[in-house]
Amino acid sequence: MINMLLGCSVTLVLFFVMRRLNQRWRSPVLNPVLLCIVLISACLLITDVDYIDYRNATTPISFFLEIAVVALALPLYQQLHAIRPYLVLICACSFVGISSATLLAFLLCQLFGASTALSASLMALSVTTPITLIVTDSLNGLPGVAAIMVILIGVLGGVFGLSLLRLAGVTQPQAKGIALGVACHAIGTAAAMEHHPAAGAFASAAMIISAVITASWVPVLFTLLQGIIS
Amino acid sequence: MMIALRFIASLAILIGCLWAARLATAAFALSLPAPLLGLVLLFILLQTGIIKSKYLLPSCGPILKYMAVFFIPAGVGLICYLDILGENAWLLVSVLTLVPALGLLLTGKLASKGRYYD
Repeated sequence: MINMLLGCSVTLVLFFVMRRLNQRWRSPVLNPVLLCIVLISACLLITDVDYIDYRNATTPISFFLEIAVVALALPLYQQLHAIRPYLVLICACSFVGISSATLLAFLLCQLFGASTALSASLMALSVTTPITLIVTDSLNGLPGVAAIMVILIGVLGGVFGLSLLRLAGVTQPQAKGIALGVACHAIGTAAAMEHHPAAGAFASAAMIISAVITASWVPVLFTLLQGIIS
Repeated sequence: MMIALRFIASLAILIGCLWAARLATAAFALSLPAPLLGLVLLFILLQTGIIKSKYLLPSCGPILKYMAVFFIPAGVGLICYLDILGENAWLLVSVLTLVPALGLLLTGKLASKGRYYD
């Protein structure tokens, strides 16, 4: 009980301090979650505390992970009327983006001869972390690896995403938003919101739709790809 | 006091959806993740007007705003796999750069085929 109080309060306080820091110097590189994970990991390694103990101490925080996924229904509902004319387009974009990202990640894993557990952790990296963790769990991957990779992909997308899209000749803010939402989840969506309000709305819709598509489609795709390889 | 009650009531709706989804996935042996089914369930409830969005706001607001904090314990799990990360550094770096780049380019190009009305 004392462990739980200590683990949760340390995690929460550190997160809010890092959030403040991020608000002071607005930069995707100062991602609060990334900083917290690195700092807490370093603390655990230095003090020689077992990860299992930390995980048990923070179960109340992890409990909300699945609830947060359910809560995503609310923004989807609120945005539905605004994006209804583009619903098919966003679904098609999400499907193509998710499938190609998964396929590329799978090919890279094969190329580098990665173990099955590691490959399973790299399949669902374009979506928001709770979905990634759920998919990774269902494929028997390594959740810790998946979580850190998702956040890093979001950070990279937030920093370089808009420039890359400009280079590729994508000009409409709505299209930029969809691309950032599908490929770089919440951190990309935040970058899109700062860029243009329409981009932000499309990004958050695309992020939620690709979350639904990833959770239902990526496990099937991964099984198919593995069947083809073996 | 009222605020706390509203928060608990709206959290109860979320947990109710999650549990109903858990029961359904267990009962019908669905391969769909339970939280996702819960999302769909809640979306249907909202869309049919059975649940008003204002009932959900007290808990959904903060949960969605601070969602990032819930990933920290899972992310710290990487310290169990430091050796795997080291051995596969090149794979991880190429996944980190190429996967989002391909995703951005393909979806961006495809999405710019759409006609948008401002």
